[in-house]
Amino acid sequence: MRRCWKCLVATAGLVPVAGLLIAWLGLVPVGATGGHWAVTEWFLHWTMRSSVRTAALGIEKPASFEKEAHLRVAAAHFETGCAECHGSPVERRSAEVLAMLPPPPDLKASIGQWKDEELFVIVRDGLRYTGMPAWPGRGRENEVWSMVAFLRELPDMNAARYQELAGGMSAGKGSAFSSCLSCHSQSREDGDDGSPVIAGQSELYLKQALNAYIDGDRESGFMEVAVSKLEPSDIVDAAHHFANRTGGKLSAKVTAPAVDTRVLTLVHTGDPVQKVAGCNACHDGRNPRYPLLAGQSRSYLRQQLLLFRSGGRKESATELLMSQAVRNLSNDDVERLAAYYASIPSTGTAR
Amino acid sequence: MAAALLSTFLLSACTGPQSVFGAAGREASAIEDLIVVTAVGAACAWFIVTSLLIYAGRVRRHRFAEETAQRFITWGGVVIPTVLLFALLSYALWSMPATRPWFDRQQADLEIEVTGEQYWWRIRYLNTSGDVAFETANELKLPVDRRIRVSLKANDVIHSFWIPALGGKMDMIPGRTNTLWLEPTRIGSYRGPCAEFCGTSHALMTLTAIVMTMEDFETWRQGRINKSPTSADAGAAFQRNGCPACHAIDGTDAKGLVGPNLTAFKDRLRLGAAANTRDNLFRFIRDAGEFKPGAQMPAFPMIPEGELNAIVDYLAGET
Repeated sequence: MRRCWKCLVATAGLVPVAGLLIAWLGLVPVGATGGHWAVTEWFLHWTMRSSVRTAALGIEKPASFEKEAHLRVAAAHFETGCAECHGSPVERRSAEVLAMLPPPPDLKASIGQWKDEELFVIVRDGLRYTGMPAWPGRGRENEVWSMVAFLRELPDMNAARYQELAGGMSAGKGSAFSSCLSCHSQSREDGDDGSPVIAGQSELYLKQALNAYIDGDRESGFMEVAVSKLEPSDIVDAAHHFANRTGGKLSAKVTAPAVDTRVLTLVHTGDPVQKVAGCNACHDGRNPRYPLLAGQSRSYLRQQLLLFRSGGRKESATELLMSQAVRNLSNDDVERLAAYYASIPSTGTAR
Repeated sequence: MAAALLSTFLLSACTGPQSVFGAAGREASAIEDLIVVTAVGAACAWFIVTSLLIYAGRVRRHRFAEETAQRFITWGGVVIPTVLLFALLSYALWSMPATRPWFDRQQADLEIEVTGEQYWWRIRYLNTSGDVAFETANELKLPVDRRIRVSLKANDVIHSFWIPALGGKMDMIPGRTNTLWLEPTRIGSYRGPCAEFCGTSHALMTLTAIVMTMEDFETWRQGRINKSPTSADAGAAFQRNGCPACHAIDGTDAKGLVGPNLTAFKDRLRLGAAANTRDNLFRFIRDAGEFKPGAQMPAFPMIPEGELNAIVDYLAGET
């Protein structure tokens, strides 16, 4: 009996050693050829599904995320970052993508298996041991929800609708920054679809913003992916191009300028009771380091104000300043300010 | 006589710019008189009782006759204390209107609105129709021998207005307006603390009241009302770096209402919690929290040094 115990202990000690030995000898195949054993495949997928399901329990879905989603920006991002592996209504996947292990799923078929919250978890956190990356913009959950809304629509999307949403794909072969135009073309800026109006901002500000995305000082999954391949000279060119392009024509579409005494207080003097600083002191174009707001996209302004208010943007000193300035802004005031700036003509004085 | 000497001795350390014993206003004088009279009255009672105790216990060795003892108790234990305490109470009740004076609004020579903010004082001088004539911060300039109606307000938390040499204290409560009447009687400079804990920099929230002759006050007031516009160039750096989002300077485009009005900044004696020097101003703009922990003003590490120097130059020359 005693000898038997000793055998057990010795075996328990030897098993890990044997395992390490096998790994060291290189006997574990890591090639992607032929796929996993059926049991391994089942186990990995079962673990993944369980993990996503559990992680999704803690996710609270914004009530109207589909309504607030920026589908065009999400579509353009999908085209840049996702379509290569997951395919799209206009593009079939290449053979090398299909030879990945695990092969990226065809979303048309697989999206329906997931709940919104589960999709959110997968897009935000990525999947370990697969090719699925995490969302590059930390804290930008609103972007992830836009992606989820887009993915929900994807299975039934025809090529024409997809192309219309993603925009500017044919323009992607011109100058280094022409890929910017899939979101920041003149027509897109007029459409108030969530991408900001950057035409007419100062060169200095545009350079600052692009470099902040590249250096990781400003978070946005959409923008970080978009700028990751720009060379320093491209940034100079892009900043020059957009600074000198005439601003959008959003204001032309607004029937009545959204002006009332409350919004003028917020814009010019600030509110001493709520301690909200006056916007125009920095955003009237006098200082090229700060963005101009006149003629800006309403949905973009609303989203950024909410982001600042919730403390989602406070990486740099100026972002901290903004979160401090708007921390007591009410929802009504956010709407008012977004409507006001969208409704006044872009002056384009910042140079 | 002894009590007067005693009080003089006790009170000799209680003078200075922030003392109820250096009264320089009508209300503060009434309070000071009340304190002195009550203290002297209490001291007399203590002196008499203690003397009798010593007399009975130590000096006189023989027993009193029962009748004498009875009379002694009646006079010494009932009549005299009653009269003395009644006199003190009467005086206290009589002085009540003077310790918290109250007039009709029309009787005011000057109306001021003071708002407690974390952690500074917003001061607004009103014109005769009750509208704001101009605004300043942390320094309350008052004419001597005039009846001043002070409306006390707060925007964020409860503060309390107290200039011991002039009057108060009275709470400043968000959502309501309290009224205090001040009537300074002596020219000078007096200090007031916030008298209700209001946050991390509560102890640094101080107010200076400067009492001046009516002529000086009128000159100053007219100067503020008819503030001549400063040239736009002088304040360019101030404007460019977003300072007007919170700060106003009369006669310029800077119209922010969130923070202190900075008109005539050069004349301010103090800068938050420190002396108003160029060096302190430079550091204050860089990081106000260094001087006032928890201050609402954010840090400005991003303003280039040259720009910041230009802002300091501008404010230091703003008269």
